[in-house]
Amino acid sequence: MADHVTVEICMGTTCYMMGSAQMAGMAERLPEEWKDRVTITGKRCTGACQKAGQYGRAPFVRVNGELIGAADEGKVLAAIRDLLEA
Amino acid sequence: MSIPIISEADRLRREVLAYVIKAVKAGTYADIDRIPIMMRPKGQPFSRCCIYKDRAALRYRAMSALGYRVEDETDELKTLASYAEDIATNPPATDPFLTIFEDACSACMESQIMVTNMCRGCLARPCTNVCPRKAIQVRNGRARISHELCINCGKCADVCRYHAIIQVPLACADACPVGAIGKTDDGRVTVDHEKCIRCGKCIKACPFAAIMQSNQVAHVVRAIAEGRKVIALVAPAINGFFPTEPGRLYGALRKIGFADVYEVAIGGDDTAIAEAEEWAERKAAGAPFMTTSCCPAWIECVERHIPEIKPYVSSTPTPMAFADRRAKKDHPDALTVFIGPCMAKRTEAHKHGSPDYVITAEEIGAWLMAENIQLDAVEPEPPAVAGTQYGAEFAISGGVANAVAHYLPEGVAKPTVFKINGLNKKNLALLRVFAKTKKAPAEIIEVMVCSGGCVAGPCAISTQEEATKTIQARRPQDFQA
Repeated sequence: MADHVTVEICMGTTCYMMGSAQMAGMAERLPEEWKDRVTITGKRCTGACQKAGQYGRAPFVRVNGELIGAADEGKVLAAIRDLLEA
Repeated sequence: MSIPIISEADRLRREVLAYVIKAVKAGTYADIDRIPIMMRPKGQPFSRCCIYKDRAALRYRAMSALGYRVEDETDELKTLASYAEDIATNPPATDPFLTIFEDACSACMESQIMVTNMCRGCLARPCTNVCPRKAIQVRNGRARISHELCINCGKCADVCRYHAIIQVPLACADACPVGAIGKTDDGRVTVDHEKCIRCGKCIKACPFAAIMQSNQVAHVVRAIAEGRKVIALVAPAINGFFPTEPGRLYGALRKIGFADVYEVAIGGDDTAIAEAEEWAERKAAGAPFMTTSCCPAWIECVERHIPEIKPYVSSTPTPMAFADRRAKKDHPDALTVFIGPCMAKRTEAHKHGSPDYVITAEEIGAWLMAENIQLDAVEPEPPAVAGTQYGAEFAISGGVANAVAHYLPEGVAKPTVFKINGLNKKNLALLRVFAKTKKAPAEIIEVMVCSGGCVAGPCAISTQEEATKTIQARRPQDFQA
């Protein structure tokens, strides 16, 4: 079980267009009991989206280092829950 | 708090746009024919009934990205590459810009109230009591609805303790504020383009993405590649969608080949100044009220559904028209391209013959994807012409009326304001009453067809809340809201 979880959301152009724009404000939507145990930050493009035919794998989010492709808030919340409540 | 979501349909559309733009820019048209296979490779998961239908849908999506309507197809074997080649000589498809891929339509059930198996035929039977048309009876231990009598009010669904009665929606038709959507004999969607006000709500609503729009971005990419001088007219909503300072976006637009950038917010200021004067004159002449004129879907609605309100609609040109005029005056040799969150703007441009192209926030975003431009790495550049915060807030419900009030000529009393924040069947009827009775609850009626304003347009990128916050955060200290 992790004490603290760091969520890094890619804010590069492709990730932003493919869904990270919708994750803005996610920190405020976290369950109260998680709020001081989870840090959410934006990250610059790492280029993962730029391989041929890979736009659809965006947006990329890292949860305690673990890469999630085609991420959305639901997937990220599930990953956080696995770490905090395992 | 509800979680904002991006739909798979939006993601697919943006992905296709980005691949198409990349290929058109590079001139590698054959790549476009590979898009359906690249996005749905053999043996990988699919979303519709099979991989082949997914690919067929992607083909038509690419066709619309290239500026064609699905209905224009005469030869199913014509390659996407040759459609792309034809861009050199063919202008993009014209109004109506809505296009339907009929085979993607799931032929959903008509919107109706339905009793499900959860009904226990209870003793209390609140459904039968609450029904204003006596359309429900319990027979053989289960509530039955007579669809001849039912008016779809949903009261029975509200009172059932077992949630046994549900309202089955017809997404596209329920979203349409003007009843322009019908069905073919086999239940597929049809759009009556005489009734359609071009708002684009059905595109967003359809869960099967059967309704699409024909884009214009490929033509703009091509014009720039050919060395044409192209000026970007950036709508204020766009600056709400990207969480950077606007200058970085303008720098990016120059980087991808636009010769210069005009903020449409300056056109917003022009519109507000003219509309304030217009109101002062109308009021002096005894007008009971005036509606705003900047929302093109509202103008279509006036012409197609409430012609009787026309005398009360402002005749002031829109911010897009004013900004376009400025750009064309300064650069008579240039093509002008409006970039906004709106579908109806295409129809407005088509009617007035200018600006030359209208592309959406999604199209410009996909273009930045295709060129791999990171806004935080772009040096900020000022626009050729900038607007004020009053002009910028045209993108937000309430912003137009606020700007008009700000620019009132001296001695004119501040008008009262009534907002139509999102056109629907109900407030459309209300507007009709205003026209008929020559009476309205306020002097200025601000009409925005999208709920929240342009920031909630059908081609928006971020959520309405975030875009509104981003724009309002730029308010200078002396701004009066």
